[in-house]
Amino acid sequence: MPRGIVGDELVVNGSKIWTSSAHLADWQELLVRTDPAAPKHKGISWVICDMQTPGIELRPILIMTAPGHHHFNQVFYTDVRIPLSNVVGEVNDGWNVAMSTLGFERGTAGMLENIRYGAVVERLVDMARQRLGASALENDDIGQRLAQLRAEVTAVRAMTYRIASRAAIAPPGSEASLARAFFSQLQQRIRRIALDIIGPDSIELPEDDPWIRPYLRTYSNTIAAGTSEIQRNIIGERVLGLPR
Amino acid sequence: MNLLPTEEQQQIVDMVRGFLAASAPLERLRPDKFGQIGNPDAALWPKMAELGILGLGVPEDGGGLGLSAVEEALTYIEFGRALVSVGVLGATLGAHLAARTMPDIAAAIMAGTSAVGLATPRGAVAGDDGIFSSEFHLIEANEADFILLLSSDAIALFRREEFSRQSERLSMDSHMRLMRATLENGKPLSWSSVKDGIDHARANLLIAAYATGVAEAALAGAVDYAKVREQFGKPIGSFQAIKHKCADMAIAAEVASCQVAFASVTLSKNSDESRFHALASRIVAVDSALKNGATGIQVHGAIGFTAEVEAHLFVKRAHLIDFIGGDQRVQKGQFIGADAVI
Repeated sequence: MPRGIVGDELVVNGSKIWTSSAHLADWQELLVRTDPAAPKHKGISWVICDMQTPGIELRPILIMTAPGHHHFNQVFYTDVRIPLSNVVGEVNDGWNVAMSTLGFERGTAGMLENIRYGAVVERLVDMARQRLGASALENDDIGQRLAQLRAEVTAVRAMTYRIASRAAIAPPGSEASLARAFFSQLQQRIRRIALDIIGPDSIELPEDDPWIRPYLRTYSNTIAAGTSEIQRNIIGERVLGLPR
Repeated sequence: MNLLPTEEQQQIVDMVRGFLAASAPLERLRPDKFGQIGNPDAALWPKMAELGILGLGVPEDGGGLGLSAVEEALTYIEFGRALVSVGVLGATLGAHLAARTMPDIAAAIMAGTSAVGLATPRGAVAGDDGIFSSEFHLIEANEADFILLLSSDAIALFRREEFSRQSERLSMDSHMRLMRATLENGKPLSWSSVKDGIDHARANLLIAAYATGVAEAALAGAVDYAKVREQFGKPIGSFQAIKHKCADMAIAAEVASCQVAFASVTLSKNSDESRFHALASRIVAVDSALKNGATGIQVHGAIGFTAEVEAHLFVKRAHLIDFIGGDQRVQKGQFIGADAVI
């Protein structure tokens, strides 16, 4: 099968997995190898691809949050022809393009989530006050854990400010892993406590459920974009200077 | 909001760190250097006074250097790193309280000629309208003229004589002097309620900053050891079992340090959110100190259980500061309770 640049087209063969929302998308960004002889990060091109192009097939990947919940896809490409004019940046310079788009995604996505989770904690505090009583909360285990979570989610905001303060001086380094590793596990702890506040009814999954699906969703937080274990390797080796 | 020290602030940090490295290295706490029981730092106060450290954040018209809560927090991180006697808290907070109405007492405290011990409640404190009764622990009070009482509701400065039935106790943290004592309708020289504003926020912030220093020093000790100690022909820090423990310690120290920095900025601006952020900083930082103290011992293995390395000192100091003015259970209750701080 032909691959790479043929005339004024890019011919794509192969597959890609973990593509979020490919079944809903009109377009996708593709990183494809256009120079098979070049080493790892070189010889890759960043191209925008129309999802209606012939030769694209999807295999849905259902996720654990609820029956039939379709988020990821495996995408198969058979002789998919994309006009060369769809290449963003230079041919074979796709790695640089990807690094800029990823950097943007990492930076801003984290901040938004942080604000959202601050609000989630306050909703949990309100729910716990209604169910347990405000004064009971003070000495209750749930109240203690909520206080810890409230303090921690506050600290994540401070960690984001510290990252921004560093970024004003130098390009972001491995220190950002400290905040990411902490926040991904904190999100799990925050969503987990909802079940303890709701109690026995948390084994139900109503249509308009605001707590159980988001809770189950947090299992991906310590896996996506570098597992917690990879984050800890990065912290150990690049921040603390421990040997590989 | 900038959460990194400015150049001037970094110079203050370097000055304090340099002074402590020369005058209070961690090795001073080894059993062969010091008798292991008592306060090894009483001689430090006059030297710190000379450098202006004891009145760093006290306003200039109160006889201090007039620097902000940001500089105070940065120096307290250094105190925590060096495990400086927590009597320093009595001096700083006592000087702040005294400077408003009792300039002579404030001057004596900031000059290091009058020491200030700490009183922390052993149970519920009875008292309103500024009259206090309860059972207390007194910390570093033996040579002190004054006692700073810190509870979750109030902060108050007393003459030491107000406390009766003073009796010495050994402490789990053996590098300090501990007593039990009683206050019966004790009248402070000066006091403020937790609801009044900044004094309590400053106390929580400085405890948090100290705890951050403890967490950072425990991390540094563990990482240094993991780089040199070899097992199976490799440094133990190359094994993920150890590397990931160190990474968790680094995360804990960063969480604490960032929230302390944030809280110190809000306090320096007299923001309405100061109390909230100071208490949040105390909760995360004391948690980090306790965790890192414990993990640091484990990373060291058998030598961590001995008195020949510093690892054990951090967890003991973390427990001590946890109880000053009410432990995590009390602080979290206040942070989430019926009349929560926000």
